[in-house]
Amino acid sequence: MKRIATAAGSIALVAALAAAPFFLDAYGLGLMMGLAGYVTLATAWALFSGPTGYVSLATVAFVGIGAYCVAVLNETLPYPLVLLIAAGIGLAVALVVGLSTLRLSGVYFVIFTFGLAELIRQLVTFYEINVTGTLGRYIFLGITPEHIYWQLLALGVITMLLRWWIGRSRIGLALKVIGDDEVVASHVGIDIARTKLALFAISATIMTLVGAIQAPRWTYVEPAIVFNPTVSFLTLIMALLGGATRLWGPLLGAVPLFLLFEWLSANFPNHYSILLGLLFILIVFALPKGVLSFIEWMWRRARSTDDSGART
Amino acid sequence: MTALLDIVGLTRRFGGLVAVNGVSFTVARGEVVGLLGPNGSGKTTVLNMISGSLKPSNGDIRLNGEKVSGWPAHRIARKGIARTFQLVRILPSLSVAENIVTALAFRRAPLWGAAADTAARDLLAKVGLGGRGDERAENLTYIDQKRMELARALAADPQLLLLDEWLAGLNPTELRVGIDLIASLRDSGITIVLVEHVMEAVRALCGRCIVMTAGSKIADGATADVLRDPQVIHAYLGASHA
Repeated sequence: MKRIATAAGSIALVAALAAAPFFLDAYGLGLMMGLAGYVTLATAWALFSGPTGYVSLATVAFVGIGAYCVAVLNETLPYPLVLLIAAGIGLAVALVVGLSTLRLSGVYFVIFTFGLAELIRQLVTFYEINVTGTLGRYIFLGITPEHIYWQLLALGVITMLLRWWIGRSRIGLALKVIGDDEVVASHVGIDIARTKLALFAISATIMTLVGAIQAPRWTYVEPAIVFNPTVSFLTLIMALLGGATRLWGPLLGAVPLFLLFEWLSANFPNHYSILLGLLFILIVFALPKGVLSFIEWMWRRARSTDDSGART
Repeated sequence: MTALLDIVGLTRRFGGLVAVNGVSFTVARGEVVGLLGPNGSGKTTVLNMISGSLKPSNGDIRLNGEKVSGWPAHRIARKGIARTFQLVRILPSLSVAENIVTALAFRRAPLWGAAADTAARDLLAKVGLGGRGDERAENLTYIDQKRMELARALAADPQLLLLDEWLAGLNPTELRVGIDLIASLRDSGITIVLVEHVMEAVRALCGRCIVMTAGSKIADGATADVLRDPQVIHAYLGASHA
């Protein structure tokens, strides 16, 4: 009964979101586009980092790869093919990076992923300056904002469904075991390296697609824009705020934070980074397991005090 | 009888320290072998090499004649070697039944879904945790966590079960129950290698014992004989008793 209600509610929500462009002005649509992008990124981030506990700052590396693929190929190839190639390149990079780094743990992985995004950005800059001779590229595609929004929405829904499915599958269980105790995981027969690599690759491919889909919106693309590390930090903090181990966590974290950042950047453009940093610290200290876990904890505590009150 | 486990010249060095030094022994199918020795004699290191948590520096480990030494732990686990840990390792974020399902889901003939759930609950009943599958693993008492860990090892349907001081830290009543439990496993035909300090358990369970000291094997034979061996008494109690 509850599952049917959740499913019906989800379908109604998606339908309402899909119809949104018909009721919104240009600013509203832009907001929804950004929102759909970040919800998808945060959900994709949590797909890998939630259960494994590997904090990745490589989000923007993949977003940027996706955007650059579109920038480079949009004049020569049809759009769907460009998306496919972008996904393929994202997947390939993720596999190479994953194979070489998933042995790292804790803070080393964090630093590596942060460095990776910078490395790719510098490589692209170097290539553009020394080989092609221009830094920026233009994207002229006849894709309307509505279409971008619908594509992002579809990708977001697929990502959510994928996470839901993984949560119920053997891979999901394997990830939970890995998150709890890697020694036990390997001793019950779980191939830790392969499981992590698969999830990292799926997550990265989705991030690449987010970048590729969003690219036409920017019209002008250069490395400093598409490889901006703030994207990685925002994604991370959104997923953490909602709760990276929960299915709906990244969504619940991304929506309020995105709106807040939008408001902050409009009203405090000069202090934006400071406020962002403060918020970051606040969330990590006050809600390390995310809002959903916090609410559950409060709920359980309230109930247990009720019980003891009834007994006395 | 063919040897299930065949170990030849097993050696492990940690820097300059030789923790295990050229140990060789075989375990036949259906045998229960005790691995004894003073603290720091290398017993757990041997177990860790058999289960794949550590790679040997030298030497061979064969299971049914197939060389498994140097394989990653998950491949060895799928070949049918399961273990418990000296310090019990539970999966705290999972329920008791889910802890067992982990082993069922990733073994060679995996079970999943309703079949895995039923099998997990049967195994829990077998180790004395019947009806408690929905509890959180971290809320179990120490002995119950040990029981759960044993059920998880059994869930892998192992050819060879490694128990690392599974009976340590139990009170006398629990110890009795624990010994009976392992005895029932032995009677069902599972091959077991156990590292143990509780002599009562060793005498009750192991037909054969291997004794190590300072990384080397010093005795290997029927339990009663080995425990009378002057060299073994020397290793445990010092020269004046030998």
